[in-house]
Formats: sequence, C-alpha cells, structure tokens
Amino acid sequence: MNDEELMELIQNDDETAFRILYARWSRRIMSYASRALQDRREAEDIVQETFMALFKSRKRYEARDRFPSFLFTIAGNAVRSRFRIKRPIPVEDPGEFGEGLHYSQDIEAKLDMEEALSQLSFEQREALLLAVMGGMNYREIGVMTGSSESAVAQRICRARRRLYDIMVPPEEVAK
Amino acid sequence: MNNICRAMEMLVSVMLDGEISSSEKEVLFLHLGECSHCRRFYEEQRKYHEFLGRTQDDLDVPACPSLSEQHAKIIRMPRYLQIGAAVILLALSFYGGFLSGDKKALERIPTYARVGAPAVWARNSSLPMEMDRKQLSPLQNLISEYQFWIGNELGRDEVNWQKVRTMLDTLGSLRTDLELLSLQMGFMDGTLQKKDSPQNTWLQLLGVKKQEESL
Repeated sequence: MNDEELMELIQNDDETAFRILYARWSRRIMSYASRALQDRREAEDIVQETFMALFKSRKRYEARDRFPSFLFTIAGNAVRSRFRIKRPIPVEDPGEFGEGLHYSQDIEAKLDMEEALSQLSFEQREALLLAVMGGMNYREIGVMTGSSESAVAQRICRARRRLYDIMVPPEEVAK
Repeated sequence: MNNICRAMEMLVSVMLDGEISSSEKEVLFLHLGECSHCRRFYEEQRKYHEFLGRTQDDLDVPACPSLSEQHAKIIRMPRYLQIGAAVILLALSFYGGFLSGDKKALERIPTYARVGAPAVWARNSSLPMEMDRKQLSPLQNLISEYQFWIGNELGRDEVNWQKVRTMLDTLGSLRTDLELLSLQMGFMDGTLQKKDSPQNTWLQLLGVKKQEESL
C-alpha cells in the first residue's frame, strides 16, 4: 500500500495506517531534523510534532498531493520554527560561501560528511536537505521558505560548493 | 575556475535535484567530457547526494504516538487547569530567578503573568500550517511559535525551566501585553470578525504603530 492510500485511511482515523506511515517515515524525518538542527533531542520533538500535525491536518491532504512534500513541508516548518526560537533567521541569504569554516591549513584531515554539513548556514542546510532527503522541488521549497525558485537553486548550489570546499583539500582541487 | 565552470556547478546541482532540462543536461555532459575540474566536482557531489539521501541508522526514533493520544492532545485543558498551571509556572519562574540571585526576578513577574498564561493556554494547540501562517501577521506567527514551544516544553516529562524562562523573556520583549495576547487568542479562535486583510485588522485592533509592522 503506498503512502497516498495510507493517507486516505488515516483521513478515516485508521490507526494501523498511521502506524505504518510512521514506521515508514519517522526515521527519515528524524534524520532530516537532526541534520538540519544539529540536535538529536530536538529532532525527537520534531518527529512527534510532525506526525501530530500530519494527523491534525489529514483532512487537508488531497490525493494529488505528493505525500513526501506534504510531510516534509510540515517537518520543515517545525524545524524552521524551532530554529527561529534559537536564533532569528536572517532575511538575506548568506553570501556565496556563507559564514563559518572553509577547508584551511588548520584542518588536517578530511571532515566527515555530517560534520561538513554542520558547517553550512542553516538556510543552506535546510534547502539542501529538503531537496535531497525530502525530494521537494525548488518551487515547493521556495513556497515554504518564502524564496524564489532561482534563489533556492542558488542556495542549494552554494551549499554543495561549500561542502566540496570543506571535504576536498585545496591541493586536490588544483590537480 | 572560470565562469563556464561556475555555471556548470549550478547545472550539476540542478541535475542532482532532477530540475535540469534535456538541453542543459546535454551541455553539462559535453563540458564534463572536457573539464577534469568539473568532472571531479560532479563525482564528489554524486557521493554527497547519495550520502545525504540515506537516513541515519544510529538514531533512536521515538515510539509512534497513539491516535487516541493525538485526539486527547487536541482537546484543550479545562480553564481551572490552565489557571493552575499558569500560577505554578509563575511561582517556579520567580522562585528559580530568586534562588539564582537574580535581583530583577520580581520585576519580571508582570511579564510572566502576561505571557505565561496564554502560553499555557496554547499548550495543546499546534503550530499553524503554512496556509494558515499566511493569514497571520509576522508578529502573530512569532508569538504563536513561542507559545507553542513554551507549551511544548511544559509538556515534557523533565521540563527545562531555564529554557522556559528564556523563551518567556523573549516573548515578553515582543511588546506582548495581556490585551494583545488576549486579542490574538481571540483572533486565532475565530471569535473576532475578520475585516479586510487579517494583518490590517490585527494592526488596527492593536493600534500597532507603523515602525512595529516590520516585526
């Protein structure tokens, strides 16, 4: 049974369908939240909050909606709210490379991917994860974050460039 | 790196996200055949994409909440419990501040009184959906988010009172007096009649000055 069919059952308060959907998606939502917020405890809250909100808004779901986008929009909003409590989201997108760490002389070894991800700005990390983990398209991410599609595309591209700068030593890039 | 390579990086990115057109794809792969820099970039990005697409296996995912619990959470606390919880919140907030030698704890009581009770009131509500958020002013959105997270923290088995206090302080600094929050709660409950755009009505009702609209 696919996600859309399960949602139809959930709209009729079917608990088994809800549990199946939870089992199918909760780890992915938690991975997304944990990476976006860089905080596992808060990610647990996000999972609960997301599925609570999913249930409450089940009647708004329409069969033509892509379920992952619907779910990740809920999760993404919860993550943004949580992040905003921690630190106000700047209106402007950070510059091409954002603030923070680049590959430098101080970094002897390659940082692993999770650590490299933590070096991105929240806005870059959020957009990249929604696209890659949530499978959301640029328009959907733009609607959620209040940005244009091209701004989302640029933000994600900058995030990828920055990961590359962190992960690949400069001498290797020069080869 | 020249401008062509910079443009190709964007194409690599949109390709990985499935947003590339067939003509762009053709251009990209022609370039990748000629440019080792971009080929390296592309190969690395494919690895990152694959890694990020995977879920983390070492996470402890919380148990699935039951639907009956979900239903219960939607029902608001009875009024007497709300008032009781607000009083406890105030007492603990003050007590915590007093114990920590915070001389200004007394001064904050009115702030807690103004923002604490509505936060407890909002304990069982959830964050508005995106479509609802657009109907609210930025100030309303911010307040409802704070209320939600304060309520959420209060609902934990182990409440982090320091966190609650910090959030209450921030909420208090948003010029949220009792009247404003009461109006907001009424507005969110739909008990106030909406006229014109919700944001205008909201600002008119509150008499918020122009410079505060940017909040």
